[in-house]
Amino acid sequence: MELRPAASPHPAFVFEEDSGGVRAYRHRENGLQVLVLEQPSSPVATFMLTYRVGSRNEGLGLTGSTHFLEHLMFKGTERFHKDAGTSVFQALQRHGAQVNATTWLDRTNYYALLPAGEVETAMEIEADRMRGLRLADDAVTSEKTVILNELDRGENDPVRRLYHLVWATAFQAHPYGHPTIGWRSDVEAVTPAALRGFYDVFYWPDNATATVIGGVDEAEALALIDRHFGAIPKAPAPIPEVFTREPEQAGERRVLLRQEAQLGTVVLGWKAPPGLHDDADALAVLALLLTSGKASRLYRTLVDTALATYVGGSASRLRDPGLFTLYAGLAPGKTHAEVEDALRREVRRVAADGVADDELARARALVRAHDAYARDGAFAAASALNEAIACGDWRLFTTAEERLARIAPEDVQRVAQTYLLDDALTVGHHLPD
Amino acid sequence: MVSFRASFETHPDLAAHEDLAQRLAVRLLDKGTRRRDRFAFAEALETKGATLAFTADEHRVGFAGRCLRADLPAVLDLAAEALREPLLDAAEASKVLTHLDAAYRHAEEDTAAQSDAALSRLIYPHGHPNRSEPFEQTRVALAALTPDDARRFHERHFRSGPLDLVLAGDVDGLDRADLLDRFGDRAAAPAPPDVPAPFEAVPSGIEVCVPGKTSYDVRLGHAVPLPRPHPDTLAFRVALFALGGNFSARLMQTVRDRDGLTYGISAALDGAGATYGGHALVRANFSPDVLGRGLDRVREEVQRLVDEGLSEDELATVQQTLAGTHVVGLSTSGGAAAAMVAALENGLGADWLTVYPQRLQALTTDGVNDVLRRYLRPAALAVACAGPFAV
Repeated sequence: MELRPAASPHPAFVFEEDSGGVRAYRHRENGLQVLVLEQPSSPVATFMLTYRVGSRNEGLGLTGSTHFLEHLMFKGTERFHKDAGTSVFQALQRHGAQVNATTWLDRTNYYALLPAGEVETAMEIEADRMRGLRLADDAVTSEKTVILNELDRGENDPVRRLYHLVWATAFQAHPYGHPTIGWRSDVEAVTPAALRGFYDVFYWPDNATATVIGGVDEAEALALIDRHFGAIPKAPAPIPEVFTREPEQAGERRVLLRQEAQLGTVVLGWKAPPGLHDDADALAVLALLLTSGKASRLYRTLVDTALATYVGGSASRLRDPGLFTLYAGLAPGKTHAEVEDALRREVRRVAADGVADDELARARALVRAHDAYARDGAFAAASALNEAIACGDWRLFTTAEERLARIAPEDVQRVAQTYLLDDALTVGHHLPD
Repeated sequence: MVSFRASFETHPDLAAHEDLAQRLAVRLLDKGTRRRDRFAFAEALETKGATLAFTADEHRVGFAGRCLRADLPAVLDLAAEALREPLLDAAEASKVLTHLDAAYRHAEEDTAAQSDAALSRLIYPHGHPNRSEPFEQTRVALAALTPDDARRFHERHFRSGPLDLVLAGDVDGLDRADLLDRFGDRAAAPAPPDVPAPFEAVPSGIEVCVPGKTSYDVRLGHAVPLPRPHPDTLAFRVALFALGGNFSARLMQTVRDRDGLTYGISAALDGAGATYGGHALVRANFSPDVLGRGLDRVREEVQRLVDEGLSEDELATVQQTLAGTHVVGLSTSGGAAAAMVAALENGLGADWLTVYPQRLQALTTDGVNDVLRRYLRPAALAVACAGPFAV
């Protein structure tokens, strides 16, 4: 018997999949992926375009290009630009839209959250600037100082600098080692031609996912997307792959940052598998058990004992292998060694003794509640989908609860034993002068 | 799911540092009650995936959070238990004081926090709710606090004043009276203290050195005698929105987009309360090589706004923008709960969320520009800079 695919509500799109209320389509001509989550009673909608390009795609000397280009995308097109009173911000914010864009390791996203009746304006702008960006030399010059100020602001924060240093020390071959905003000298030296080249390689519909969430009708949303994006062709050449793989780390690495301050910080980063790896969920649970909430292990052993003033951590979910990070801010009078020892002791305790069923139940409750919170309004789900898209599978958002139900205490102990090894660790200390 | 937010008036004596005793008491609320220790309290929340945070400002104590609808009664039980039966334990107080001391040390190193605080001292006298004393002084005052201070404050202030509780989200059919019952009988609201007048607006400046930093945070401002319910306040806020309310506003379009001098710059009426005014405020960050030029450009734009006023088109755009922002802001349960509580706390009335769009649309160009020119005085702007001096 021949299986018939589900009908698509618009002939320009092929229906691909339905998961957790999110329906996925792909444009037949140009390959643009579209995700739709209807919220019929909502007065607002989010339209988001996620490009599968981030600082991971930047080579030596071009660090920060993705982020720089993100800024330039707001300089507009022939239709949407400031001189005509129709800049991207003017056209969207006049409707009360929350508008912005972000760049991260694996992706760049542009979004607008606005009254549902105005969602077409956001689609029109994103389609227009996908291939129609005005990238003038003087715009690059003026935006360069804006970005350098953004970089300076970031450098004011020693915790942010230490975090960059830990990633740079852990990743010596793979581009995850450089900060998304780029090294200062690269930002200063980048040319309009280089940025135009970057744009022409990566900004195509078959390298993007459009997400529509909120008070919109699915068929109508698809029709609008086809109207505005349908005529854009596929990329003329394959999107370049990133071939670099980080060599296996064979020994603990340490990095120190001296910056004037009163209290220090400790960051620990272990090499972790890619976000779609079978062990990624168990590592995410381990991060929750260690750091989420005042009942978590690290809060009890570091913050509640006044050894640290805050703790945190996460298991990165990225396209390529990333880091499992833990961090803590020193309480007055405490030393880096005391705090580092306490963090490492708790990790060893999980590897040696495992975790309890009730800890896992707490993690499941957190994920279940967060799934409900992500469906409150039209933006939180877009934000979560954005990271799942970047990782390589948008269903990471819709299937989180059911995947977590399959994690057993032994899985959490096993991933702690497998990945949180001294030889795979990079330690960072911020030493206040 | 349901988002919830609540507050009640406490009115700590600011001149006597009672706000610090209040802060200590509030930070201790979830550190153990007469019924369960701090870990059991955290477990009770986190096994439901719920959040509950206690808050304090210069007038009120409150709490906010979210949970699944089925868990709401149990989560509000926890909130009531923490408010009514906290242990206020001495050992926990010692830890909280250590954490607060660390927070103020971090603030001393934060150029944004330092510039905000420095500007407040140019505008407001001691005892004003918008004044922030130097962080190192606050640390000294904190060091003198004892658990008894927190206990006394709790005893005197936590049972007075009606509790405003706002629920938003999946709330149809909830028994409101039952949900409120757990917070017990409450006395009449305490009388708000007299708020001292701000300093006469005169141009003044202050520089705060924060060693090791790579950029400057800058604040310009002067006092504006407009409490939130004042009939001119909305027009003034609209005028400042045209100056620096979003990316399309004048400051971002000129100082950032055209001149490339800053990553972020904004303007707003800040600090206005239910019974007292606030201050017109411009916030910006500049790299060292453009600090002087950036300050000059800000002053020029503020002066240009007063000289030119808003055009009809500009006002219409701001009205449309703010009407849309209102819809977007209320589209999450958390946003709706926060907006309603803010309206109540600011003395705007329970119907504010409904009447606001109408008041907004009723504004005229002449009316807004008249208010703008009466209250915004570019020559009186005080300036506070925090960064790696010297300039």
